[in-house]
Amino acid sequence: MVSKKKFWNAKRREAMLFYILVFPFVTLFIAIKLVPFFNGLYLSMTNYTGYNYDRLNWVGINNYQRVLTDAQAMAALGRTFLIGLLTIPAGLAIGLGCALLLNKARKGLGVFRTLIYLPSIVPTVAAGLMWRIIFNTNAGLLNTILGVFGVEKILWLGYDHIRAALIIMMLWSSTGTLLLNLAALQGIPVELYESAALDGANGWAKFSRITIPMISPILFFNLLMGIINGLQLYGQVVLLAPDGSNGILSIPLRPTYTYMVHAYQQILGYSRFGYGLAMMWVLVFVIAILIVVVMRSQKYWVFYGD
Amino acid sequence: MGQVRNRRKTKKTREAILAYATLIALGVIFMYPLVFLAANSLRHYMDRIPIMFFTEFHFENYYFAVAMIPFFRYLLNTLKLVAIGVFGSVVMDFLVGYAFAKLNAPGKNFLFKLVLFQIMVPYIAIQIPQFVWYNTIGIMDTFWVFFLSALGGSAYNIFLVKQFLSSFPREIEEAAKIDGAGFATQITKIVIPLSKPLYVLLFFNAFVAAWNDYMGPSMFLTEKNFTLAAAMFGKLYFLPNKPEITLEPVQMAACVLFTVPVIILFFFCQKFLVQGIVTTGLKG
Repeated sequence: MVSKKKFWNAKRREAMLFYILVFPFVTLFIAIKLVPFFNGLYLSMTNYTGYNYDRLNWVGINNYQRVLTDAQAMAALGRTFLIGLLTIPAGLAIGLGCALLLNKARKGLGVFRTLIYLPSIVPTVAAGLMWRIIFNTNAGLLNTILGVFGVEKILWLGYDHIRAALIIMMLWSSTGTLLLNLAALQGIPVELYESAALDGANGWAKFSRITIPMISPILFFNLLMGIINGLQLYGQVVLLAPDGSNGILSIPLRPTYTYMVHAYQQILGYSRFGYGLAMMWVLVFVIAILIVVVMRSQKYWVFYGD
Repeated sequence: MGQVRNRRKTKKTREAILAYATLIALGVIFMYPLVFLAANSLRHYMDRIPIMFFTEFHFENYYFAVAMIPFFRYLLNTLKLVAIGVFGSVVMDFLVGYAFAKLNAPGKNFLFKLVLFQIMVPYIAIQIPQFVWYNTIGIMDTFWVFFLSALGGSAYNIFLVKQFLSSFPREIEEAAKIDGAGFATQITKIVIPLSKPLYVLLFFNAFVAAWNDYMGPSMFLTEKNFTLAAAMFGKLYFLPNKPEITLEPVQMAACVLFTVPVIILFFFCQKFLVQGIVTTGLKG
């Protein structure tokens, strides 16, 4: 009665192929992500300095307590938040505003799209070095242009204006969301606008009732990525440091001394590995909370239609 | 009636003029810094005052930019990392993404949650522990660091590939299966030819990521293995007898040399990038 079935039937073969294809992904996830992750968690509760791996002392949550009471670390965290609050929403608005404008332009779309998108693919290092010259006090681009309007020379890279300089530089390169936004805008069915026009909706109503809800999943995604990346701000501030001779360990001026700079200084500069790792976990925890908050906010403003 | 239509038409024209005027202004704002960069890469290398436009043409700065540092060694290292990164994304991420989009197996949903989770985890949560871990297992300062992470794939790319391939109509592959096409034939004859925009998107993202990355090479490699991005982060161009004086024009020339390949690549890929992003979508 029982017919002899081949063991390697189509279904099993398919499953086997799946496992073979994802094998490197899963193994290496464990080997170079999960293991270091927990290893790092363990080391953050020790006095690891980079040299004493064979005779570690367990210090429990001591490092974490020190992070939370480290005035420098907490001030740096606050500063990072402030810079994020100033750059993330503005950056998203620039990406969206440019996409809205480009969506209106029928002719020359390609040219303007390229011009506006290019800054976001200029390598960070090149952009940083370039902006240093633009911020040059005597004859930099910015002061020369402002000079035409009678503004006195501003010491952009000095203590008082470094944060403004950083924000200008970051906003210049914040057009990376342009292509995504544009794709989303072009995906909105025209019929929606036509029927709204028949109902007598004006421009603002169309924008707030159709455009924004229809592209809200993209805005949500961009916001999430903006927060995750924004709190890890590092390269740009180091590139604007007064003396760049220390490479990635150059120390930025106080107003742009971010949390990540402090963390990397502890680890790579002072060999305080345990402490630096604890600092990093605190930031990961803060980011995780923000992710949860943003995810929860989805139901109030993100529209997942059909 | 005619008047109303006319008025509507003039309003439309006015809006269009306004939109184009704003776009031109934005184009100038976003492009001028790059023009300024190019212009200043051509001023005399000892001149310390920036120039506003192309008024001097000292092309020898480009020679200095290449000759003052081991430029080609850095470039070769950069290309190595680019090759590794592109391999990881175009081969590994593609195959894993394909598996998630098209194949069924027990445990698939759990594994896909792993992918989504990895997208959310901040880079630093991995990089510093990795730095410590690679130190421990002794593969620091080798390209193994980058090769392993390429083999392991990028969660974000895997997600992109899955989204893209899921939008394929099933009939195409079913027809192929009936014709007796095996896995390799399906991939090479059907899936890949149909995924050109996705391929360009993966290639471009991987190229730019590896080309621009300064953090990875600075942390995991020493100077002899540095890439251009990592090397340029330090002070490279100064007067031999007065290291505190940076030769800005030469530095700017190096920036131009470093940026131009990315821009050229973007021009070639542009059309497919936009298509790729449209088809991949990010909904749901």
